[in-house]
Amino acid sequence: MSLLFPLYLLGLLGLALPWLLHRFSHHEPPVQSFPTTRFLEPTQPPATSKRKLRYWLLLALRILFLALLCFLFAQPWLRTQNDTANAEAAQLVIVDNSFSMRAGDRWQDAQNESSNVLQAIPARDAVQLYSFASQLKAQTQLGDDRSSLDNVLSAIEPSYESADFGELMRYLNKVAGDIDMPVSATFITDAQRANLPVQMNALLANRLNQFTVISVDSSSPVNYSLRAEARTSDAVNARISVRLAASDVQEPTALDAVSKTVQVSVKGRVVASEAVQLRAGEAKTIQFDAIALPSDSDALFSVAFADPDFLSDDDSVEIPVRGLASVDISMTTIGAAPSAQAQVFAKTALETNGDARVEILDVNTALAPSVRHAIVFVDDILDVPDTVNRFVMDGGNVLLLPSTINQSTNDAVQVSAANITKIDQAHPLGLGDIDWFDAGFYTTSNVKTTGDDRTLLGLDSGAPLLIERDLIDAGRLLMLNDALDGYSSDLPLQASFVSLMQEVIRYFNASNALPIELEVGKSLFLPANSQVLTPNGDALLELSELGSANDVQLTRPGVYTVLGTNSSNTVSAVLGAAESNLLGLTREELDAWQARHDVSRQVTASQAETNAGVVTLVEQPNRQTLWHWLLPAVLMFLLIESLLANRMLWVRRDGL
Amino acid sequence: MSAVAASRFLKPELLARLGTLELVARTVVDGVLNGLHRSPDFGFSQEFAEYRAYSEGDDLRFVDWNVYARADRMYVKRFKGETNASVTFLLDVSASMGFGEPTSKLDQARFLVASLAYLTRKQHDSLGMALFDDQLRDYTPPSARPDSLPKVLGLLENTHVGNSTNVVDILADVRATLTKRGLVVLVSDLYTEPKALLGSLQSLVHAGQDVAVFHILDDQELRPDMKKISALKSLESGTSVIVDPEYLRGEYKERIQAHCEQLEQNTIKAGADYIRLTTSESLDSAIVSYLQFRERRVR
Repeated sequence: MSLLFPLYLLGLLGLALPWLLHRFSHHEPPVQSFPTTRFLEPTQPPATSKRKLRYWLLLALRILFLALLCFLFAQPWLRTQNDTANAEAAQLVIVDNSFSMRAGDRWQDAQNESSNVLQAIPARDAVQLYSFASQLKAQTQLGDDRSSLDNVLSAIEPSYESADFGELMRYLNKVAGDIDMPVSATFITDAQRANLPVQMNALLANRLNQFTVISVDSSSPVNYSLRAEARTSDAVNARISVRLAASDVQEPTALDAVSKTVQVSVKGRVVASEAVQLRAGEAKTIQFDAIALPSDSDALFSVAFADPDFLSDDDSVEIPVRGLASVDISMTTIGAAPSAQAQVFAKTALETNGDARVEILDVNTALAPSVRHAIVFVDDILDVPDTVNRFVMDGGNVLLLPSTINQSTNDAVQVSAANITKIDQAHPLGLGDIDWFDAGFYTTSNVKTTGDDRTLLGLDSGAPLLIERDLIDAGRLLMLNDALDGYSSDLPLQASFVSLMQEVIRYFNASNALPIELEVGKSLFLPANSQVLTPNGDALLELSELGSANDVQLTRPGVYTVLGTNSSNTVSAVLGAAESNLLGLTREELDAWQARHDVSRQVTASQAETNAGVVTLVEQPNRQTLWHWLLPAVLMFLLIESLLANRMLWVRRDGL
Repeated sequence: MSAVAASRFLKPELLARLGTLELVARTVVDGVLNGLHRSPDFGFSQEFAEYRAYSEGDDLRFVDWNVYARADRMYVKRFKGETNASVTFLLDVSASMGFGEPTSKLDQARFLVASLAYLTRKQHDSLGMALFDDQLRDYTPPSARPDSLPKVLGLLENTHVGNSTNVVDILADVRATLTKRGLVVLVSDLYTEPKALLGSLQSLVHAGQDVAVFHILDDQELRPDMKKISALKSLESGTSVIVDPEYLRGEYKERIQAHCEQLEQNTIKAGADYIRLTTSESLDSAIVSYLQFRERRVR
């Protein structure tokens, strides 16, 4: 049994208190009225010269109660795993099963090294086996039982996830803090340089008594990898961009360029190929233009090297075509017709990246019921027409634009090249990331906003430029105070206008917002009531999880399909680029890493106390706290003490 | 109504709820008299004294119908005992009379005196009362006036416990005050020396007074049921004595019993009547005892 706060045992000094109270307590008898005392005779006190200790049972109970209370505050705990009770030290063996371990014989070597390490651990030490890729996962419990270690070790598979050695040390520090004995750790890894953290201080786990790194990176040939993206703007042809990379090598002599052939295929049929010369450490991007889209809209392009290398998993990718699922936007006018340029500017900016398809309607044409997003030109943007209000209240999203800048009223303000100075950076539109410097505004209408309006962009003249009206349980209503005619301002001529329109599309379509691609090992946050299909087409979520799952972890590369209530989207799970760069750390660097932990054992007590808070972050799996046994015992003693005290502590019979 | 049924209404704790002492007195006396099935003349002297013109409210049984037949006027016969009995109540209001739960000895004594005073006036006797502790605090000389009963009841309503007791001196004072023969009713817990009481009562009896002593006690002072050692504080002197319950259950009971018996013997020896009444007892037996006492004494 150990104590978390042994200093509380000093409270045992207070055990003398009940003894003193019992020894010298004096009880006054209760006073009652009586008609006369003439017939009464006082009770005679016993002839004793010193006080006697009375009520031994009550005294014992009170002393026991105080002792239990002290132990309760000291928080005793027991280690529940009997097989570690006699262990002198804990040995943690961590196997790196990140993606790079799939290269060549690295995984086999790592398993052999791990097996050797496990066998070399002294019998008196407790052992625990972990695997580490993006997270540290315990494969066994801490204990003396070695019989199942080999089986568990052979069952571990290399993953597709990326490793970060800084994260490893942070996890190890936590684990070591939870073990009540000296902890040594041995890390079997390919020691990729790309897995180093940004800050080298993160490589220190000061709770470890010893840290050993065993590298299985015998030779580091150049590894070639590729990533690709396919995008279409006309739903007929696609443009495929392929980024090729060759990993670094230790030896500067291996700099000869190697010819790698990249092939693009659909359903096993090669539709394009190109040879590329790559040197070690070099990265190149090539493009395949006008690749005809397959007739099957769900078909994926496969981009791969014609000759895979020793790490074949990063030599080919399957990619969906982006740009097919564009957002339909209707552009209409209520009232006076806008300038022809305005509609062209808006349509062009919205369709630039192929993410939206804009349909221009005639003046005063009603929006179709199926339309969810609209650009509406009106006479006065703050005088929202009823049809627009109803559209928004039904969940539609609208960007209101003025048909013309009204210069005839007194509100019209002539501004000489006013600039955007007020930007609401907290708004999800991401306006702070757009460069507004070149946009100049010459004539703007100084509109008066209401209390429900939020000004997202404002000019230095004080006039609001972009406004959002706050509506509850409705769609989004944005108002842009610019006629987009090219005369009153040069906003539609600037690149920032395209960015703004793209952000508006993304903002309007936010309910279906999913990342295009995600690194393997990361969690994908799902819209409500979504199902995820793996690249093989299997459902990732059980039926019971459908309503409650907020995210899923993508564990292998490929194209995942997210099925929503009314939509279907694809998310590409891609390998971490750093994992393909197999360049390892040198032996000197590994020694330096290990040596940091020799120094760490010399940390002062104050530093150890400063870091003590980290230990308790995780509940101890092998620590059985005893407070929930002690607390009822304390309460029971208190109850018995109260009952006994009430019965026994009447007036002493001698009346003193 | 039977005597048993009547006594059911005379429990002290019930009387305490009745409110005014006048109502208490009426309830007690009427209940007792009805329960006895006896004439309200019980104890009256039968020696004729005079005629009095009939007035509304007089009992028709006392109308002399012969005189009515002759004179065509109604006269009521009056007897000797109705006119010359003078009753003086001596009520001990010392601090010790405040003992007793839920009915204190003083409460029980007030109920008793109020009832007897009501009965006295019902019998057309003169009524007087003295309240005392270690000295005479209030004294109303015997009077046959109609307001004597309200005056006595008013005194009883407003009285409260005082200091220690000095019965002997008080009896001496009363003896000097009472010039006319009559009945003296002493109501007290009698915490005094029995020998001294004997002397005082004898001198009062020798002065021509007929004396009845009502000894009021509480069950807790006769048979204390204290369970643990306690300090008992005297209500009169304020001194405390730490007493063992075993003593109270043994020797104390013998002592208080001997004291009461001594008081009873001395009272009887002095020629007075002795009636003991506890705070838990109903008043009917005490009323009956008083009526018997009056029957014997009034001539």
